[in-house]
Amino acid sequence: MKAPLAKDIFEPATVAEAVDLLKEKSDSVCLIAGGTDLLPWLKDGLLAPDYLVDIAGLPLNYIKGSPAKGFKIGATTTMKEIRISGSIKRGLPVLAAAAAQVGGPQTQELATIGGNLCTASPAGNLVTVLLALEAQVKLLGPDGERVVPLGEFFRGPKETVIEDSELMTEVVIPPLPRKYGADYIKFTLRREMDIALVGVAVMIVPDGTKVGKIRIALGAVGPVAFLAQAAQKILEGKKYSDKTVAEAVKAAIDRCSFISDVRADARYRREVAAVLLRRAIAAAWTTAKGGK
Amino acid sequence: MSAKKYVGRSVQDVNAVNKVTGASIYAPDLYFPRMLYGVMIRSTHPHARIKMINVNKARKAEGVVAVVTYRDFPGLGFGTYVYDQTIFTDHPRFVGDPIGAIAAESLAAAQKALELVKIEYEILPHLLDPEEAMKPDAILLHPNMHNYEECGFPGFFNYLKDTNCPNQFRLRKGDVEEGFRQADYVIESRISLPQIYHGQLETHGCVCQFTPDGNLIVNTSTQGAFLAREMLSHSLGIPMNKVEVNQTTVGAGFGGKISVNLEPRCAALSSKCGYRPVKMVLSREEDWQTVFTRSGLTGYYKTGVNKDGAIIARKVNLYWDSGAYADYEVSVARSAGYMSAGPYDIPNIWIDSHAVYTNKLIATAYRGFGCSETTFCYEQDMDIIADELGFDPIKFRLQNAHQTGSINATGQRIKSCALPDCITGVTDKAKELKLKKSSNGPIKRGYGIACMHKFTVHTVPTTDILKLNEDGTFILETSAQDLGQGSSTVMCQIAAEVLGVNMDKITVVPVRTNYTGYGWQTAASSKTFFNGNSTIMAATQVREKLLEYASIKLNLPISDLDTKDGTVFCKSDPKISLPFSALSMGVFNDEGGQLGGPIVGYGVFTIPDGSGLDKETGQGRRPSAFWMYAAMIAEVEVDTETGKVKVLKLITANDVGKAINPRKVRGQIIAGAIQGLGSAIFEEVLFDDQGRVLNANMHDYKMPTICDIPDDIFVDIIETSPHPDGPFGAKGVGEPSMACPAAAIANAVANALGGRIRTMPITPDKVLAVIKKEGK
Amino acid sequence: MKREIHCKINGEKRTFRADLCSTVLDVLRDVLNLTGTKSSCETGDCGACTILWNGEAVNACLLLANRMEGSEITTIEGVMKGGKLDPIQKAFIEEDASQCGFCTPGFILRVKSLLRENPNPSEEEIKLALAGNFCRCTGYIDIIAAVKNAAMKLKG
Repeated sequence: MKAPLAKDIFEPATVAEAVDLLKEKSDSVCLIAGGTDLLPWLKDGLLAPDYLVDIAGLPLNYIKGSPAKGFKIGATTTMKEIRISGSIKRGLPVLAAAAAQVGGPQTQELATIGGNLCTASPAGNLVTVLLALEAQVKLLGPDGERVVPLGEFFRGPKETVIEDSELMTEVVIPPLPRKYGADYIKFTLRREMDIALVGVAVMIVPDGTKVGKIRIALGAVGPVAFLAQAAQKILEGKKYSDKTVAEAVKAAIDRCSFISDVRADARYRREVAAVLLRRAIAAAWTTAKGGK
Repeated sequence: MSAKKYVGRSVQDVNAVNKVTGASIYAPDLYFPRMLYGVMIRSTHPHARIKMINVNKARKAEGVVAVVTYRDFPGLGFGTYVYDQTIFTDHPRFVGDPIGAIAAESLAAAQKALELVKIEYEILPHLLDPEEAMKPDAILLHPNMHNYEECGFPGFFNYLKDTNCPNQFRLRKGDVEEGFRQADYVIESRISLPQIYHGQLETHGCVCQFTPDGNLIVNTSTQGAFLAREMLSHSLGIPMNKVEVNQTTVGAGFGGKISVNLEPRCAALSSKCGYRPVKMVLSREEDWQTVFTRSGLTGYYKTGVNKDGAIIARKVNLYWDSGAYADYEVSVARSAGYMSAGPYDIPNIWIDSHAVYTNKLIATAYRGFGCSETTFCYEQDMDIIADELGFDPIKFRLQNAHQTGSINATGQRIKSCALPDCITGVTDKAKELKLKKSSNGPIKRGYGIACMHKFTVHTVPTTDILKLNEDGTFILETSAQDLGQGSSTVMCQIAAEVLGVNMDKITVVPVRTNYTGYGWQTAASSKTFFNGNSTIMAATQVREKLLEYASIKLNLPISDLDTKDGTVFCKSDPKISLPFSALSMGVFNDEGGQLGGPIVGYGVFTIPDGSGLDKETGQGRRPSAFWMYAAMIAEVEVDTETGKVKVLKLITANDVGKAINPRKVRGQIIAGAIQGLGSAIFEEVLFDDQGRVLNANMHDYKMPTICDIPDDIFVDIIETSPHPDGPFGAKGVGEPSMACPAAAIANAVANALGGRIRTMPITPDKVLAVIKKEGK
Repeated sequence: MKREIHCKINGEKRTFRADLCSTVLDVLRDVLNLTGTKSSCETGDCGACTILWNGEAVNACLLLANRMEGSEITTIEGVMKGGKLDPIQKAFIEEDASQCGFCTPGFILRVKSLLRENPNPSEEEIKLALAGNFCRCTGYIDIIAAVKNAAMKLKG
C-alpha cells in the first residue's frame, strides 16, 4: 500500500465550517473539491499538507441565471455539469465548450470550476474564457466575503490572491448583451486530453459595423492568463476590418512574454498565438453578427 | 487446399473471457503470503562513481526488512548479448541506474526508507549524443568493453575497441564508390530521430522469491521467460534447474519486456529477505524515467540512381543511441543494418550500423528492430529522387522492388515476397478514393507512399508440447508467449486443425520455464512461423499416435483412418470410430495389459538451412527464416498557418503469407498503424542536459487517443505469396505494421507542403519552419 | 487516518477499514483485493482505473477513499452478473477489442456509463466519450466496433 496522501481529511457540512477548519489547520491544510489537479501534486510531493478539507459536499454546486441577468455558478460545480447544462449551452456556449475540453470525460465528472481557477494554470480552459467574459469570483474567509475581478485574481502560475483561510464560493459572470459573439480556441497537439499550448478566448459586442466592446484573453502564453488590453483598445469603437484586426493582433502578441517549456517553445507559441487570435476574433465576430 | 475448419478463420480469442471480466492476473495483481515490497535506490547523476553510500538509517527504518547495495553483489553481471551490466552498480551510467534496493512490509515504508539513504558521488563527465560519443576524443563509458563476456549468440558482438561502440554491423556488397561514380544522380541525407516509449499500459513488474531448498521463483511481466532465466542463472550463479520463471498475463510488450531489468535486482534483494516474496512494480513515472526506450537514431544515407530509374548504389551509416548499456541494442543495430538499404534490388551496398553508448536510459528492441526508423530514412530519399528526376514515385518503387526470388542486401534469396502486390494494392485503393493534392485556403492536403521489409530470426528454436488428457481434451504448452497479440489463439487454431478436434478442447497454458519447452523469447514477429511449425509437429505426432492406437484397437490399416471432431474414424465406413478419450492411455488388450501409454507430442522447430552473416561483408545464405513486406499510403491535411498535421486516411497492404486468424492479423496491422502515427506526429522522449527525462507522464508524452485516429483505415491482407516453410504458408505481421506510417506521413506532408521534414515527430513548429524556409 | 468505511461495492454492502486519504484505487486493490481495476498512469490520463462511482465513470486514482462512504461503486468484477457476461463484455469478445487486456476493465466501465446516458451514440460521440481511455494494443477501431455492437445488443 502506498502512503496516504495526507494525515486526515475533513468534510465540513457548511461553508462556515469549512472556513473555520481552514483557519484552525492553517499551518498545513489544503482544500479539495474535484482533486483532479490536486491529487497528482500530492502524489508528486509538490504539495504536502497534513490535512485536507473536502468541500465537494458543500451546497456550492449550482448554475443560476441567464444571459440577460448574468450567471452565478457555484465554485464546486463540475465541468460535466457546465458542459451539459441547458442554460449554459444555450446562453453561454463558449463556456460549455471550454468545460468539454478539460481533460477527458472522467476528469470532467470531478473537476470543478473553482478548482480550475484556483489551480491558476495559465493554460486553464475556464481561466481563459472567464477572463474574456469579465467574470468575478467571490471569496469567503474568516473576515467575511470579498469579490475579486478575475483579472486581479491571478498572481503567477499556481498563485492567486486567495488568502490561507479563504475559499472560493462562487463565480459571477456579468449580464451579457443581447447581441454578442464569443469563441475559445484551445491549441493542442492531440485532439483531446491535452493541455493548451496556446489558448485564446474572445468576446465581442458589435455596434453596427463597429466593434462596440471586445475582450481578448490569452492563455498559456505567459506566466498568467491575461486580457490583451492594448489590442482591445485598438479595436473598440472602430469599424471591424481585417486590417484593424491584424493591427490588434500584432499589438497583443508584441506584449506577450512567451514561455518555452516541455510542451512548446516560445517562438512557436508566438507564431501560433497570432494565428489563433485572428481566427478567434473572426469567429466571434461572425457569431455576433448572427452567422455560424 | 481443402477447406479448413480453423486456419484462416477469425475465431474468438481463447483468453478473451478472463480479460473482459478482469480475471486475468498481471504482475501487479500478485499477492503472496508475507509478501514484501521492493524499491530501487537509483543514481541521480548520469555518470558518476559512488564515493560513499550509507544505508544504516534506512535499514533501521520502520517496516524495513532488507537493504542491499552493490557491495552485497560484487562483480555479478548480466546482459542480453554482452554482460555489461551489474546487478547494482557503483559506477552509474545514467540517471536512474540501480545502486541498491530496499524491501519493506509496505510500499509506503520502503519509499520512506529510500529518503534515508545517503550517497556521495564523484561526478564524471557524461555524453548524451551518439555522434559526440563516437568522436575520437570522447570519454569511454565502458573502457573495459573489450573484456566483457559475450553471451547469447556468438558473433553478434563486434565492438570497436577504444570507442563507445559495443557493436558495429558491417555489410559490403559490390563496390559502392564505383556505383556512385557510374550513377547519373547522387543524393545524400541526414536524419535524426529521438527516443520514444513503448507505452505499454502495464508498467514493468515482478515478484521474486527464494525457497529454503535454494530455488528461485520469479513471476514476471515478460516477453522472454527463458532469456530471463538465463540472465538470472548467470548473474546470481544459480543453475537453471533451480530458477523458475513464470510469465504472468502480460499487459503488452512491443519489445520493451524482451530483456530483463527489474528481475535480477528484485531477485537479489529477495535473497536477503528470509525466503519471503518481494514484489517490485514500477509507477508510470519511474518506469519511463529508468527503464526502456526505442533507440534514437542519427542516420546518413547516400544513394546513387540512374536516369532509367535503377538504384545503383546505397551507402548507409547509422548511429543508434543505445543508452547506458548494450542490452538489446547490439541486436537492433545489427538487424537494422540488414534492412537499412530498403526492399530494393541494389547491386552496390555499404552499411555500417553502430550501437553507441550514451549516458541515458537503456534503448531496447521496439516493434521492428529499427525497421520504422530506417524505413523513414530510405523512403523519404525515394520520394526526393523521384521528384528530382521526374519519376512517378509508384513506378520507381515497383521498378526496383524485391520480389520472390530476389537476392537481398544480405545475399539471401527471398522465398516469399508480395511487395509488388502490396504497392499496387495501396495504389489502386488510393485511385479508387481519388486521393489528390489540394489546397483550400491555409489547409493543404497531400498523400504519400512508403514501403518496407522486415526480417525475422533464424536461430531461435521453438518448442511445443501437446498432451492428451484422459477425457480427450488437450493441454498445449507452447513457448510462444501471448502478450495480447493472440499467439495462444493461433497455436490453438493450428493444433485443432491438425488434430481434427474442436478448439475448445485445447487449453493453451502460459510459459513457465519449469514446464514449457524452450523458446528464447517472443519477438521478431516470429511466433506464428516458428511456434506454428513446432505446434504442427507436436500435433502431428499426437495424431499419428492416435491413428496407431486406433489401428490396433479397430484392426484397421492406418491408411483407412482419419481424425475429425475429436474422434478417429474409418474413412471407408465412417460409422466406425473411436473418441480420442478411448485412446488416451494407449490400448488395453484382452488380458488387461496396456500397450503404449499417455500420448504426448513434441515439436522443436528451427529452419535447417539458417546461417549467420560474414562479419566483414554481412553476407549469408539465410540469416532470416522469412522476410515480411508492406506498403502504406497516408493522406494528410496540414494547416499551414498553425503547422498542425491531421492524418485523414491510412491505406495499408501487408504481405503475411497466410493469415491464420484474419481478424487478429487485421488487429495487429491497425494497432501498428496507430503506434506508427503516434511516433510520426506526437511522440518524443525529452531529456534535460543531465539525461533526465522531462516528460515521463502521460500528458506530456503524447500517445494517440481514440480521437486522434484517422477517419479511415483501409487494410488489405495480402496472401499471394505463401511461404513454403511457413505453417499453412504463414509468415508474420506484428512489426511490419508499424514501419510505414511515419515514412508515409512524412511523404504526404512533403507532398502537401512542397517542403520536407527529416525527423520525428512532425510537430507543428517544424512544419511552420519548413513552410518559412520554402517561402510558401 | 484509518476509519471504517461503509459502502456498496458491486451490489454488496461492505464495511472495512482504510485510510481516508488513500486513493480509491489503492483501497480497491490493496485492501479489498479487487485487482481488476488497474493502475497505469496514476495521474488521471489513461482511464485504466475507471470505475463507476454512484453511476458515474471516474478515475479511481484521482478519488480519495473518504468519497467511498455511503457510495455505490461498480468495478469490473461486478459487471458480470450471475455468471452471465454483460452484453458489453460479449461485444468486446466478439469484436476482438481486447488484446493484452490491461485497458479493458476501464473501457468496459466507461462504455457502461456511456450507453446508459446515450444508448445510440454516433461514432463521433463514441470517440469523445472514450477520449479518456487509452489503448496501445488495438488502435481503437475494434473498440469502436465493440461499442456499436454493445449498443445494438442493449437495444434488442
